[in-house]
Parts: sequence; C-alpha cells; structure tokens
Amino acid sequence: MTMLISGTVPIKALPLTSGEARFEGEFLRLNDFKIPCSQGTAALISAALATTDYLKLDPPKVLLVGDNGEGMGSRLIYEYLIKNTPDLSPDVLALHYCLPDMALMRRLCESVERCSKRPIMIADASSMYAAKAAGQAAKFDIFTPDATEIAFLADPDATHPAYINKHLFDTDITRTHELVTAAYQLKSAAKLLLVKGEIDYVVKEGQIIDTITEPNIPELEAIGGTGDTITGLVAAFAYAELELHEAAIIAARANRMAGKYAQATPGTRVWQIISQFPAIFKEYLCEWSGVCYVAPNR
Amino acid sequence: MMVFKRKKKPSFEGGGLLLFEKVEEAIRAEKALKGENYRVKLVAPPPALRKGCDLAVEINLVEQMGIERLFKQKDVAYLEVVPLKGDGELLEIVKLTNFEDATMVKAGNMKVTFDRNTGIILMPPGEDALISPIFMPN
Repeated sequence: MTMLISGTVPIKALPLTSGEARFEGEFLRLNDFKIPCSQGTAALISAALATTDYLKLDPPKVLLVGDNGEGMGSRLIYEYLIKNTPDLSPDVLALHYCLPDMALMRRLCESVERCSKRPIMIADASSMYAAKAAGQAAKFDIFTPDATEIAFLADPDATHPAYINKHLFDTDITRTHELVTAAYQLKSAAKLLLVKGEIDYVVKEGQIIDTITEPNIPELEAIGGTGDTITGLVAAFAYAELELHEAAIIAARANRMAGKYAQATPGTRVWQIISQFPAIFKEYLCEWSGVCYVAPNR
Repeated sequence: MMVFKRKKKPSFEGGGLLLFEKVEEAIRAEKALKGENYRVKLVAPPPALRKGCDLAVEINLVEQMGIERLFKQKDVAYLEVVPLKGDGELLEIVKLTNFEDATMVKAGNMKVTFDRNTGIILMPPGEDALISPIFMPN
C-alpha cells in the first residue's frame, strides 16, 4: 500500500524532493530539509503522518518542491507525476498546492489512467481549481472545498475563486445544498465532497449524507492550515481503507476535536492542532469508526 | 465498413483576456505563451473591454498568475487581464470576524488574522495567495 502526497511549499530553494517525511512539531522533515509546519501542504502532510503513525501504516511518500508562485516548481511536480505515476501506482494520490496548469493537469489525469490500479484521487486548493478548470473534476474521488471554493465549483463561468459571481459568493452556509447541486450538475465536483466550514458537509454523488457541527470551534478558521489538515486526515483514512464518506466524517470530527483539545485561539499554530491527533484517535477513533484494534505494521 | 475516428481535441475554455497597447506586443505574448504550452488564442476584444490595440490574447483565468509571472521573466509587455465571463470583476467582498483579541479578514478564499492590540499578523496568507489575483504584487 502506498499513498503519494504532492504539492509545493513557498520555499524557492527547495528542489524537487521525494521521500518519507517526518512530523517534528514545528517542522516537517523531508530528507535533509526542515520545512516549517505552518500551513498548506506541510500541514496536510503532517496531519496525514500523525494518522498513519497512529494506525501503524507505512508513511506517505511525499513529493515536494519550492515554488514562490513563479510556477517552475509546480511544472516540475506535474512533469514528475505525469512520467512516474503509472510506475508508482499509488493507492491514494493527494494533490495539493500547485500553480494551476490545465494542460498539465489533463496530462496527469491521462497518466493516472495508465496505473495498474486506479488510485483514490484527492485534490484540494489549487489542484482542485485546476481539475475543475480543466474539466477533470469528475475523475477525482474527493475534493475538500471550503465555503468559497464550493461557490467557485458551482459557478459555470469561474475559472478562479477570485472571480466568482458575487451572487454565489455572498451567501451563507445554508445555501451549501444549492451550491453542491449546481457543482454536480456542472460536473465540477469530485465523487465525494467534504465542504469545510462552520458546518462541515459530506456529500456523495450530489447528496448531502452527513453534517458535522460539533464541537464548534470558530477559532480554527483563523488558524492557517486547519483546512489543509482535514484534507490530510481524509487522505490518510482513505489510505487506511475506510469508506470514503467515513474517512471524511471522521476527518471533520477529529479536526474539530483537536481544536478543542488544543484550546485553540487565533494565535495557536497548526502544528499544535496536529499534535493533538494521537490523543483524539486514542479517545474516539474506535467509537467513530469501529476500528478498535490497530495491527502492528500492516 | 471502416470507421475513422478523429482524436477529439480538448476544447478551449478561455475565460480571460490579456489586453495590449500594441498589436506586436499581443503577437509576441501569444508566441511566448504557446512556447510554454499554454493554450491561448488571439482574438479581437469586445468593444466594452477594449483598451490599447484591437488584438487580445484569450487565456484561462486559472492560469493568470503563471502567465503574468512568465511575462515578467520574459519581459513581455501587456496592459491588464480582464475576465470575459461571470461577474467580470475581481471578487472584492471582504468579511471581518472578530475574536477576543484578534480579527480575521477574508477576501475571497484568502485569509489574514492579526492581533488587534499589537497589529502582529498571527496568520499570514497561505500558498493560495501566490496564485490569487487578489494578492497580486502590483
């Protein structure tokens, strides 16, 4: 079993680097590089690592590169994945920050089709934007949009969340159902959506199948990276072979509970939230998932 | 009967226009973008959006930041990028959320949190800011 997580970090000097990462509190260590676990892809990977460590699964393979928005690093990631994904044939492929390039996203999706077994495809952030804009959204298994991003997915004309129709954006969370329906009609949604917000919605093939509201920790939104951690949790639980909707529900619950355990304030750092996950899993994972025994190193 | 299948070419989505002062700048820009495998096309901008010359390059807005950075690297001149569809304007809805000592400012999918007492930024914009026109350097 392998899970591959790829994305960029805003450190221009980081070359294209792959390997097994280690969560070390404030930092994520990948080979000889120490990457601040502040937000973004580093937070996603760290949350996934906390989960795989707890479940005694092989850690994810990580593919990172520095990109300060110029796009060179992002292109290296796309090209690497296009070339190597069929040979790597991961069970789970999670795509995160990358400067959107629609032609390369299409080529990546074609490359995935050459895998011996189709991976569970997960996209968040700008990889999700690229998937939608390139017309590839339906090829993905999970998207994890926030309230703004679901408005983007629901807007037939928007190719960037900065240009969403104001009518769709200036909305409240109770309109999520309408936006979700529109996103599926447009084929702009993955098979499963976890819409992150004040209320977390788990949506399967256009139907809202669960909502998660407790514990309600509004401060989590003010902490950078707490949406990314949810995506990392979903990816890891999918890798642990939970049903995808279960993975999403448990991820949303665990993230909220970690905010409560950390007594989150807007000044809390995301690594402090991630550090709570093992205690949350120990306390609640059996109750939430029915998985009450963790076999040593599967 | 033999059936010939034509490989379907992916359609061009467009969605944004690059405007130029001069025709030769538009042609140079198109060449630079095609050289980097961006799917773009030369078009005549609608009168309402026209500025400068009568030639524009249609792009996909999701690729706007990559394109503008490429232009900076290659010293390609252009006037501005305008959206063709949708609301037609950059989303400028700003939402404020106050906590005990901190305020979170949201603009589109961008967020910043700062301490109201010290002004210190608690949460800077994340990697999303690197591809968002809302946070464009200029």
